[in-house]
Amino acid sequence: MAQIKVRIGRDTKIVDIPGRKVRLLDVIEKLGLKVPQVVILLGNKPVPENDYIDSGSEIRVIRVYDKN
Amino acid sequence: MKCSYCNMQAIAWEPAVRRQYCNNHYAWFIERKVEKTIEKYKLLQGVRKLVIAVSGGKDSVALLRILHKLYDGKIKLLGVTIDLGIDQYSREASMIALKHYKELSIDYICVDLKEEYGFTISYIKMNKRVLRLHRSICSLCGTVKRYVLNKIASEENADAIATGHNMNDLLYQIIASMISGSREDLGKALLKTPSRNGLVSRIKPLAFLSDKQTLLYNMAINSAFFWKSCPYAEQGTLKRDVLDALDSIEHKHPGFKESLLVNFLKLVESTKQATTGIVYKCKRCGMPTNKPDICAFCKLRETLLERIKT
Repeated sequence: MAQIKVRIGRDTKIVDIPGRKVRLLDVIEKLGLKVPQVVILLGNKPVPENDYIDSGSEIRVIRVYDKN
Repeated sequence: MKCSYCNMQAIAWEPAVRRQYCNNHYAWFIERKVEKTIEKYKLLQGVRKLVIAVSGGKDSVALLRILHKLYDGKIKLLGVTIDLGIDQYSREASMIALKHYKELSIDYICVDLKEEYGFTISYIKMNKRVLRLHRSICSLCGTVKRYVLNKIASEENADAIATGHNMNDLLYQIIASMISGSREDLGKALLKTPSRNGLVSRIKPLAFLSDKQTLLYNMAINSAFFWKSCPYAEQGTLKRDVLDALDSIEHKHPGFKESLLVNFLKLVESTKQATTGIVYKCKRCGMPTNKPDICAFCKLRETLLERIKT
């Protein structure tokens, strides 16, 4: 089971997804978000949603409409 | 993940075209998309001087940067920023707009609503009830911005005003006009509205870009933009719900929103009456209006100034 740490605004969530590598698209869906509404940052750089990340990685999700 | 065009690290994925892009190729992709929109809909045909409305937000900053890159030297560009008087929010946003004008060496005009017209959007917000203004604050703010932009564009002899309306804004405009049943509102969703009777032509070059694409474009070119919501923005609006529903479909069927907009525009353009609403001249200021006597701006201003005097 892969574990991804997700920061959205001031919240931090842990998402568990089967497998060792995780597709970001699956993380977005697991969080109930949609591709047109979010930008994902790994470090401080945007990453494509169809990319894969390793278990234990930390990502930041920016909701396009929330702004703050 | 690598860019589909080079070996650089990808920053964005476009599911509709099934490609990944690095910083440089994403900027190229977005600029090409805007250029294609301008060419297809002949947005800049006959335009020698163009006013660009820049608030400092992600859409208007992207618009300014793209138009400057594509047309600087070919068309005279004039940036216009309105300080709406929403305290710190307006000040910070205007500062960002000014920073871009200076960086790109673009001529600009910054209008201070309080100095020029004697009131601010904050004043309207605080006194809306007392003034018996029943429209939402966003609608009143829109009236003010449209008036000021048109006045400056007229005075500066500009041929058109470019605004940062994106795909979501246009799709909602189309759906809202269907809800209200107004043909004139439907005409507002056109990418180019014609000049008539003092009303300067308006163009929307970002019509086929989503909020996410303008945001990523700014990130790709490392351009600063104002990243805060307006403190007066209304929450839980119909617009938000409509756009959420459209995004859900777009998530499952990439490209849905773009084809919806393209086909709606074909229908709208075939509805000639959509754009032929009557334009009168305001009896107070002489500016164009859809009212036969005085325009919405003068009416609002008179109400506000009377209140300020008392």
